[in-house]
Amino acid sequence: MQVFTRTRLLLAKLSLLVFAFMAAGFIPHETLADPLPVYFGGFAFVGDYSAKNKLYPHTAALMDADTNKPSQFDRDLQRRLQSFNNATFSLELNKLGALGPKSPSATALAFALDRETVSIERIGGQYKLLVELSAQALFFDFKEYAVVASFPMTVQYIDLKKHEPTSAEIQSIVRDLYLGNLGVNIFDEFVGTLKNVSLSPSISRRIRVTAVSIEEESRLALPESLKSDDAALQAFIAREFGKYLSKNQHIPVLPYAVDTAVGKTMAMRISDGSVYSLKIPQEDYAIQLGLVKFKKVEFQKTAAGSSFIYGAFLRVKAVEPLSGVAYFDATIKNGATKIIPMGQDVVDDWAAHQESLLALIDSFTKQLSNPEAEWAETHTGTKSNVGNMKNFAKVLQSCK
Amino acid sequence: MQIIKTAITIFVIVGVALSTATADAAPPSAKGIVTVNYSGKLSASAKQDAMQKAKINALDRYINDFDDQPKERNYSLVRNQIIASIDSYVLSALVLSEQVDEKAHSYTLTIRADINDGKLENAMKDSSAMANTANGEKSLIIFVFVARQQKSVQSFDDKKYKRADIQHGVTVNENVNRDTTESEKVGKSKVVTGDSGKATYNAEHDATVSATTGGSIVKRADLVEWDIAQTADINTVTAGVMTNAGYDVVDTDNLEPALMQAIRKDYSGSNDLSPATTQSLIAAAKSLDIPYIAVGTLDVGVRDIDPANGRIRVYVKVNERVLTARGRLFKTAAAVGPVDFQGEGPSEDIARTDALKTAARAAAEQLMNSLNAKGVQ
Repeated sequence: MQVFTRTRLLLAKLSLLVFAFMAAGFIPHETLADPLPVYFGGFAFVGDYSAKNKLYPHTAALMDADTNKPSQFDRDLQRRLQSFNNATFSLELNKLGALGPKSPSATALAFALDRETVSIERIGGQYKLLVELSAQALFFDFKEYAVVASFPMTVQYIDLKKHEPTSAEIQSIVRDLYLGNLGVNIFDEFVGTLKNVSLSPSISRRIRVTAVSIEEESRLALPESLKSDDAALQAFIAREFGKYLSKNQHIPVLPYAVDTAVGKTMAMRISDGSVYSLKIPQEDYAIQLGLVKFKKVEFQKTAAGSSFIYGAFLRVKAVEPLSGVAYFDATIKNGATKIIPMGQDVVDDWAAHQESLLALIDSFTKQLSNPEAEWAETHTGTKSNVGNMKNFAKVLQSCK
Repeated sequence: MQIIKTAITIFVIVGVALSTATADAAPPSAKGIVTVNYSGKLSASAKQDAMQKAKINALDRYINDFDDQPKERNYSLVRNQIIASIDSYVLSALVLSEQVDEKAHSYTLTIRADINDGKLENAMKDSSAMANTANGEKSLIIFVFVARQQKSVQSFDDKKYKRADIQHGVTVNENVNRDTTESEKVGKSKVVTGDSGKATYNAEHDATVSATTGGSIVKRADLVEWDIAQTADINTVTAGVMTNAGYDVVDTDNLEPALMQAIRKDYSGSNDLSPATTQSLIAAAKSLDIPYIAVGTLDVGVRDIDPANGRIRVYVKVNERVLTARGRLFKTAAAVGPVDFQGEGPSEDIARTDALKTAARAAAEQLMNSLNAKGVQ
């Protein structure tokens, strides 16, 4: 009897404690409520309806050639998501059409392709083929037509060929990046990203890369294709930064989407032909990036070859736009070493610079989980920036 | 066990509340910023004071962002009443940044506030003179709006009048010099006479022709014939907005069919009512004790394809005004337009209906805001 009473008292105290924590909002949503129903809208293109074939020529050609309904892309996505589990949301497949005023949720999800890049560079006697796909796990409010959260992802495939790649070869690679087994697959990335998503019923604070500036000194290292195309380079840097920030900090990042946005809306066409103009909500925190410069310095020379350090310098400013309060404002830098064997006449410097830049962004966004003074000193020039990194980290925490 | 039951009950309620929160439309939000000064150390009450002021600032910014002067005027009329209970107009507030300047003893707070837009709109409507007037004393208003679509357009070539002034001037300078010499020599056997002459003639003829051209081009406006469309949707939407705002809306069926016919005829060929029709309308309104008459057109424009999403898009141009017929004169009490609204849809019919409804609602709200701002009862 005494044991029972003690147990009862303990339970009562525990209940009070649980209640007190709940009242204070300390218990995260996933432990309180059922997973939020999310209606899957399938494969989608981001951008103007009329520009689909121009923006995504290979993917659009694959989709247009597929007369099945649902398309092979949609079937493959659905197959991968059949046994999908996430504690914060449950996926409702094939039910988007049934979504109505009495639905328990108005949140929908799409695999939204936002970039398809194919570049061919002649290096020495070979052709370097780069195929890159960039997409978002895009959660949007189906009633309000507004972006709720976006989790970006990118896959890249590089091949060296002795002949100039044909259109059929490129299309085959693009197809395999969705459906094949090249070692990288964007649908795998999509499912992997979704597994790590913690979808809050009301995403509290929103962050977005709002601007990217290209400083003159950085242009010296750019390939010809990017020297006269600032918009492409800006979108590339913004999306890569957003992708790594989202992946490493597990936060949603609103789309950059300057090239596809009219005002603050983003057009999206899902594979059944339905078109939505999604509103992009105003960001609470803005990230402004500046590509400062690239450097190539010979580090060591031996009989076997030379090693070079490829330096990348990126200015990062995180700011609350209304007050102008800057949480972080510094130039971060990284040096990546590349060995050039003796006898290699032609070097793809841009690939090395790009690799250095992406490694810098990856490292910086990882550091924000637990900023270290040593990292700050090596990569920003002063230990004192660790305080600013901690400030930035607090902002990111508030965006979860 | 009672406590446990209570806790579990609350748990369920919280869970449901969170789930349904997303099913409802997300409330609009606005940012607010404020700087407050404090004495001594920054206290919790100083922070609370800053939070309340930041909420008010967010609400002010929310209204200003509409860029709608009548709405701003209406808001200013009830602002004190609203900020006295600011927490019922701001659903929630998120702190975005805090700055403490210890030397200056100032605290700056930036927030994003979710606005209870429905309650705010109701407060502005409820405080209007119209809303506070007893039912029997409310002024009546009648809406005579016409939706039109171009039937035919007759364009006229520009008439060009040309004028050329030509001036012809001739200047002649002539100089004639004549030198003559005569001689005579008489010898024994002969007589020789000589006559030599030299004449020089210089003549300069300067002829100047100058032409000044000019004239005028007379442009004649296109002669547009309009098809008058059914206005049931427009009337429903307009009456809905105005009735919700407390206005007593009179149906156009109360006007003589002949007058309505004249109105439609005028608008089928012109953008304005003829003076005769206007006078008849005023007289009819006076006879029915209707002091406010809203007249105007909603012109359906051409359709195109929205390049962003491939849907059919139709524009509607709105031109409306409210005439007040109190006293011997009538004058314009409020006006909207010309302003364009657009509608979209999978077919032209749906896009047109969408555009007309959007235009009717927006125009009615603007007229209502203008009338409320003028204290119409």
